[in-house]
Amino acid sequence: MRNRLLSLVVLGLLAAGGLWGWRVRSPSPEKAIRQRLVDLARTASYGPKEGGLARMLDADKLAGFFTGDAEVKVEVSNAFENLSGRENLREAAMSARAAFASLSVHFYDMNIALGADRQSAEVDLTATGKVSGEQDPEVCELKFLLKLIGGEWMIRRVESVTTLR
Amino acid sequence: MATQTQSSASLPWWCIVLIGRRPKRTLVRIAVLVSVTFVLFRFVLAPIRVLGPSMLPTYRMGQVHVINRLAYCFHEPRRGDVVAIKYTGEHVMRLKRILGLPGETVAFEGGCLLINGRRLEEPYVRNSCDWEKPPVEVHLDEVYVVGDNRSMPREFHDEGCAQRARILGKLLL
Repeated sequence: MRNRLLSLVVLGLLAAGGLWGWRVRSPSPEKAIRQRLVDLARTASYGPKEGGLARMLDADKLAGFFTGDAEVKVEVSNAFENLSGRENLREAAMSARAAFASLSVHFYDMNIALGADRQSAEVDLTATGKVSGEQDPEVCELKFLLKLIGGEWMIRRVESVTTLR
Repeated sequence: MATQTQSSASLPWWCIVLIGRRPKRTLVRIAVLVSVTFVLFRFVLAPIRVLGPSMLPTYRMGQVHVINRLAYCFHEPRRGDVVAIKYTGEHVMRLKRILGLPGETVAFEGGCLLINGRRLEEPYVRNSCDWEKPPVEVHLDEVYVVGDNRSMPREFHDEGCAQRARILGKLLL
């Protein structure tokens, strides 16, 4: 009786472990997108002690989040930035790193809407960016369009949303 | 009664300090307090911390305030109300004052607020400004919001028509 109970407990633990492992290895699309955007914010952020090589590598990594034909139309400090293509994005990331000693980017309140084909998704989120020397962060609402390419969620378009007309 | 006295007398002093002479009653009190706090802060109130200078001098940076989510359950937003306006959620919001109501036109002329072409006094504004803005019509599902700090240039100030659905609630404290 005791052995049977022990076997049941071990089986239950194995099943729970298997389920946990399966969920970690194949997360839901929403979870994968959320993690992808958290990684994007982390890669876009940098500290004052980042070296030249690290800056270049981070800029490359940042561009890697986007598709080759990606378009970015965002409003920063009342000025619209229009960027298209991965190379332009990489250059913009390098310019930002040259202009500001540090940048801290965070994404909040992600609302994810998966496409009917589950191969594309639209994400609305609130982004904050704080550069060194500024007391308050810049806040804006962004709309991301992502596409599943080769098992990775790639960003195809980013645009600012006007919250006050 | 004698049993109660005996049981409380048998508890060590630190236990009495922590959970009182009647542990069951203390547990019920804790459960009620936790439930009320949860419901209050989940469905009724939203604490916020002010960042940025746009509501100066009425609300200063770093101050903590509370938003009443139920303020507009029974009536529509009113002119002069200070409200929290959502972006995509409740982690980051705008704190602004409602100046224009649905259907009205809002303009600034020489720093003065004009509602439907008539000048409106704003007692909460301490700094004069020279803002100029042509009349804007507020749609029926919108309100016009502005911060109290008019010493900032208008270009650096977030103001305009906000959708009614984006209003989380009214500033309570």
